[in-house]
Amino acid sequence: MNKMTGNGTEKGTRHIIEEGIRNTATKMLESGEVDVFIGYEEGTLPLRTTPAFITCPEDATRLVWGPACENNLTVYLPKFQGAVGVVVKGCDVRTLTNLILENQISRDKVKIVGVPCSGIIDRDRIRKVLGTEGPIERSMERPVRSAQVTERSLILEGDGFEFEIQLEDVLAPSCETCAYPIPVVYDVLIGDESMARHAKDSEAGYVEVTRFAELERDARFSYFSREIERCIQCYACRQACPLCYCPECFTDRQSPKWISRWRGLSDKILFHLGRILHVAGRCVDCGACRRACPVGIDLRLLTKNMEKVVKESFEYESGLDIDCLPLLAAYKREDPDDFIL
Amino acid sequence: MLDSISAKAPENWEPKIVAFLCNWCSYAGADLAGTGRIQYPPNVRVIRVPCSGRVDPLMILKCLTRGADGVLVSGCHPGDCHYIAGNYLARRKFALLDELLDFFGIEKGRVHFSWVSAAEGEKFADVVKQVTETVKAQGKPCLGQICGDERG
Repeated sequence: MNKMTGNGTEKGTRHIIEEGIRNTATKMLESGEVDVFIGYEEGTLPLRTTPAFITCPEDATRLVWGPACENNLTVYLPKFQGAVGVVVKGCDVRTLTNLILENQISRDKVKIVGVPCSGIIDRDRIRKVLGTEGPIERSMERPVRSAQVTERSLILEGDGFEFEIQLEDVLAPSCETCAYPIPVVYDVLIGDESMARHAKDSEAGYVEVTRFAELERDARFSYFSREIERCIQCYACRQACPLCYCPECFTDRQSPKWISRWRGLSDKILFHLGRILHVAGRCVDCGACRRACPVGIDLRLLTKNMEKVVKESFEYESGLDIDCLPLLAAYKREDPDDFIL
Repeated sequence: MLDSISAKAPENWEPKIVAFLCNWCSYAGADLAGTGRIQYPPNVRVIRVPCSGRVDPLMILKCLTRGADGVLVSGCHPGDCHYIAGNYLARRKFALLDELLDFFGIEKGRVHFSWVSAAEGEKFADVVKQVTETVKAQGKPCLGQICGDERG
């Protein structure tokens, strides 16, 4: 459970944001401005939140905010016909911008409730800090029964132990180098901009990619083939991605059949490369695919590299501008062409 | 699991190269090379497409995973596209594919892009020669070998 504890008499930032979200939801639903309000509510497991679809103002008290609010809620937007209010973090709003650019949702049907984000936690990192195997709440030796979130740390409680972890040590990798913690577009901003995490220079996010690119070619190929071989082709990464909204995905097509589930590594590679190309110039590194992957494939390295290539070759950053054309629907005469014979 | 994309090619090995040629320029360029009796390696298997913009990067990847040793995509020169901007749009996709393959550890020389006009029979022959030599030098890709069966 995410119990919010304030510092003495002063209310914590997270508490202020949570109150703000609840008030905004109540106001929007009461005035009829939106038909449904999408936010987060407590999950059934410690440090888990689940998407909440609120339609009555009274239910707004279910809404919560904290570092476990990891889902990118914009994934649900194309499914709604009416007006929707949605809670977005700095990364989520950029996928929302892409959905608007690509005419999947209309700007006037969505009320963007922006939250200044201070980063979300990565359960895999918590597991590593605890030194246990499997999901933290189901580990054999020390299962975590409940968790409290304070301003700077997590307090995990289990049978006969209490463990405090600094939030900064278990932040999701994409949050550590986040360049846009404050939503770039919003109708309502909860709290104020000072509540967000300090924005990093976007170059900071490319350190890992640059280091990897310096490896030998065979080492790179071998790394990816080892990672991708673990893929069980569940396509959870595709389902979690707000930008994978095709009614029929290329992986599901029977004619032509692009991907088989029995052919093994070569088709898994084809799927992963295809996925990267489909989100090229659109991916905002929200990390939804990585969190959804049940076998923990390093999906981020490829998308992050693509982000870097797009930025360097076309000076384009996904999801920042609501009035431009998507990257691959536009061109410039002076685009790079040194690779063409 | 694969440790390298390429294996040592057997002796006298001839690569199979799939060439996607745009109907309006490169295909006519290849035709000109033929009518002009210009010699070029017989390793290319030509697939005619309406425009280089029609070529989905997935088609290129699919060729590689189903046994092609190299891929060539050729279209009209910038500004000459029959559909005004198909090749400009294709150029962006190909630039991304090129970088992605390189980062993934697949050699740059497996997939080639070129602009060949209907009047450039000589250039088409040169491009094919160059592509064939590069692919041959790189050996056989393992990606094609592990899925060489034809069950569908």
